Formats: sequence, structure tokens, C-alpha cells
Amino acid sequence: MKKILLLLCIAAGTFMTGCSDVDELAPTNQSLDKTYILPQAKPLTQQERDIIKARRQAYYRAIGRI
Amino acid sequence: MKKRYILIILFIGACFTSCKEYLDVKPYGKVIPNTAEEFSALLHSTLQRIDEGNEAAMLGNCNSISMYESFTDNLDASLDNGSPLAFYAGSRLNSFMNDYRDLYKIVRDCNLVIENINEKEAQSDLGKKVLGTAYAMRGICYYNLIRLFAEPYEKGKASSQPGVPLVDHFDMDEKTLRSDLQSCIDFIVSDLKKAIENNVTDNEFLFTADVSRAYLARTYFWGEEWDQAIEIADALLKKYPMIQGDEYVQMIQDQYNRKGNVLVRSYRFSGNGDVSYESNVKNLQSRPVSLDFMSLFTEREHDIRFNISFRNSLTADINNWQNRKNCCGRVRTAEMCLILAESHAQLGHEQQALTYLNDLRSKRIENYVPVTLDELPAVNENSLIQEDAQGRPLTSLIQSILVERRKEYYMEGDRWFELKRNGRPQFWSASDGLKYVTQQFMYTAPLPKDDLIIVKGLKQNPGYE
Repeated sequence: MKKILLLLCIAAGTFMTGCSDVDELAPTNQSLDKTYILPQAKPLTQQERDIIKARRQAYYRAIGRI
Repeated sequence: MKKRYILIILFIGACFTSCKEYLDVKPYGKVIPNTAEEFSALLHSTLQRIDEGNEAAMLGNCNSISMYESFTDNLDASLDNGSPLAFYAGSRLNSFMNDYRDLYKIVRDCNLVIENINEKEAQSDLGKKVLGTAYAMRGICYYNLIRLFAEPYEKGKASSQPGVPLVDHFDMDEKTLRSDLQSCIDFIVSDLKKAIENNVTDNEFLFTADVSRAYLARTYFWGEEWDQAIEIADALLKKYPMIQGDEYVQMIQDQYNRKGNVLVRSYRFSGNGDVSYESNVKNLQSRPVSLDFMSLFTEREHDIRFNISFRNSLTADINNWQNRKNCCGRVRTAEMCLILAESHAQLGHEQQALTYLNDLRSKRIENYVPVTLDELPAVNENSLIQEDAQGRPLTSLIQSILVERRKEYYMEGDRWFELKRNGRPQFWSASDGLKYVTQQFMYTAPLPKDDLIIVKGLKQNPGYE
């Protein structure tokens, strides 16, 4: 009986000195992901490839590679 | 048994008397600022990072400037030869959240100075320098925050456009919501005016009264207060006239020294920033300049900017299309000339606008003959910018001013914000067979996700929901 009372006193003491403000912690994140997902890139069309090719050729001509 | 009871009672008593402030931060071994010198230490850590070329968000360094240039149309990302530079804005949007944090850290330090420096210290010579610098830095941080994280200013709508959270005092528990854009502009103007009142002239503090004036002109310009921008820019340009020839070349290409009419610049000392600088210079060699941009230099090697930007000084080879211009964050007074030209043009003062345009061109082009309004080239329908800052179709005059600005401020981190200010045009670049589109919403960076979770009611920019 005495042991039970002793344990109860210790438990009561521990609970009474517990943290009074549990909101001190920052709210938990729903997700660990902190970056934004951007629109997916699409494959170039043939017309767009031709535009890039023309620009590359103009560049190579300008620097004397062709 | 009695001893046991005594121990238990003592233990319970110790629990009840435990220290409430146990977890409070205590300044063991550190000084709580009291004197002006101690407050100045809060600012000097940022000033040192700027001088060493390690500060990216506020004034910019080679790393941040080359990033901004890499995803604009000044360089051709589609022809890249394997550099680690960004090929479109989307690949860097998430990294802007670091700039958000860095800028607010500087704001925090400035708030600590402004709020806590006592009147007596603030009246001393050093106190005025510290207080003036704190106001200037805070104003400049907010200027950068609205340019990155708020949409471009729209006159008449700015009171309903979202700005950024305005934090003007230090409080760890406060959770500030976004102010409107007009309030942000007014706050920046107020801070820069207070900085000017403190009249800092010591260049060791970097952000002198004249630097604050330059940022005030920039803020009025961004906020479409053309008359106010004209007044400030005109005074600064008269005090620091434009230079030309070898003096101009030395000013632009000097790696460390502030020369000519540069009011402030980053990377004044060799040190921690050297590796990053060398690495970015090398990366830029792998990214050709865009043909569209090169073609703007109709005077070619007679335009000094063409020579310092693209011409190899050792071989005089002008055909390699690689960047040669020194890259660092700086504020110089040629920008005031461009602000004057465009502000006058926006107000309909065409002759005055043309005068400033011709003035700048005469300092850059050999044997320059001033142009008249009729001689200005017609609006190029193939160029990215098709509307001005007020959303009106471009005129020949404003197009010419924007073209001069693009040439003058190439490799100074200006083009991205000019595209943002003038219509946020959509364009694409290619990498590894895929098409990456810079969309309108990407001109406004996202607020950090952490802040959105912690601060209830904080709204994200459109496009990132």
C-alpha cells in the first residue's frame, strides 16, 4: 500500500511539472516535400527542332566552324 | 524509511521548482548590443559577405547575376555546350526561396538595430552611420523582395496586389501576413528617405546616402512614379555624370575596385568568393550569346559595349559569341540616364526622353550622330517585349530606350526584371530534346512552403497551388 502511494505521489509530481504549453512546438508538416512541382517539359516538334538547328548553324558560321 | 520519504519529498519539491526559463536562449559569451559599435557588428557581417562576393540576394554576386542572365534571352540556352547554368527560369524557381530567407535575415538584423539603438548612440557619428545603413539595407531588401516575390506594379491596382510581409520589428512569435504592394512601396520609400536623412558618406558602410538615392529612384521607377523618379535620377546623374572610353572600360571590367560612377558594388576583395567567380566566368563561356541580342549592336565594334561584352581583347576576335564582360552586382549612374529617358517617355515628354537616349548613346558609340524621333527604328514585332510597363503597345521611342538598357545592362542581372516589368512575355528554350516554357507566373517566385504552413492565412503566388 505504501509503495503504491509512493508511486502515485511520484507520478502526480511528474504530471504536475509537465509542459504546460504543448503548442510551443511548430505544427508538423503534412509533407516533407518543400519544393514546387513545375509544368512538365514536352518533346520538341519538328518545326522547333528546325528553329534550333538554324540557330546552331548561324552560330557555327559566325564562329568559323562551318 | 524516513530518509526515503525525505528524498521523495525533496525530489517532488525539486520538480515543482524547476526552472521555467530553462529553455530560454541566454547570451553566454555573446554581447547584447548596446553601443553603436556593437550594433554595427550586426550589419558588418552582411557588408563583409557583399565585399567578398558571397552575398547573392541583396546586391548580387557573379553567381546570382549569371543565373539571372542564363534564363533570359540575352544568352541562347538552346545552344548551350553543357554548362551547369540554368536553361530556363523554372529550374531555379525553388532556389528563390533561399533568397527570401536570406533577405529576411538581413531585415531582422536591421530591425534589431533600428528598434534598439538608443537615442544618445543614434546621435553620435558612428550611430548615424549605423542607423542610416540599417534603414538603407532594410529598404533595399524589401525592394528586392517585391521585385522577386510580387507581381509587377500596376498603377491603380497596387493597393489590391499582394506584396510581401512587412516586418518592421523583431518578434519571434509574430506571424505576419502579406501587405499590399502599394504599402510595400511606401515602406521602402520611407526607409530610404530615413537613410538619406542620416547622410552616410563613409564608403566602408557601402550603402551611403547616394546609394539610397539611387534605390529610391529605382523604387519610384518600379512603382511608376515617373515624376519622383525623374527628380531623384536627375540630381544623381548631375552629381555623377556618365563616363566614356577607357575610363568606362576600366569601370566595367575591374574585378575588384569601385571605379567611375559606380555607387556601390559587390566583390571588392579577393577571398571566399574567388572560386565561385572563376567557376561562373568559365560556365558563361559555354553559353553563347543570343543572335537576337548580338544583332541589336548595329554599330558593332564602334559601340564600346560590344567590344567589352563579346570581343576577345587578346585576339580581337569578335566572332566567338562568348561573354567577356565582368559580372558583379553594382549600381551605377548610367541607369539614372535610362530611368530619366523612360520616365519622360512615359509622361509623353518625347524630346526630353530622346535627349537622354542620345546622351547615353553618344558616350558609347564612336562618332555618334544623334537620332531624331523620325529616325528611330519601327517596333520589332519579333522581339519578346511588345508592351511597356503600363501595358500599352510599345512605341519606337520606348523600344529604343529598352534596347539601350538591354545593351548597357547586359550581364548585370537587369534583363530578367525588364522582361517582368514589360509584360512578362512567354518564351521557350530547349534542352535534351525537350521544350521548356518560361510562363508568365514564373516571373514571380513562390513563397517558401514552410512559411505557408506556419503562418495561417499567408497566401501563395498564383501558379504554385
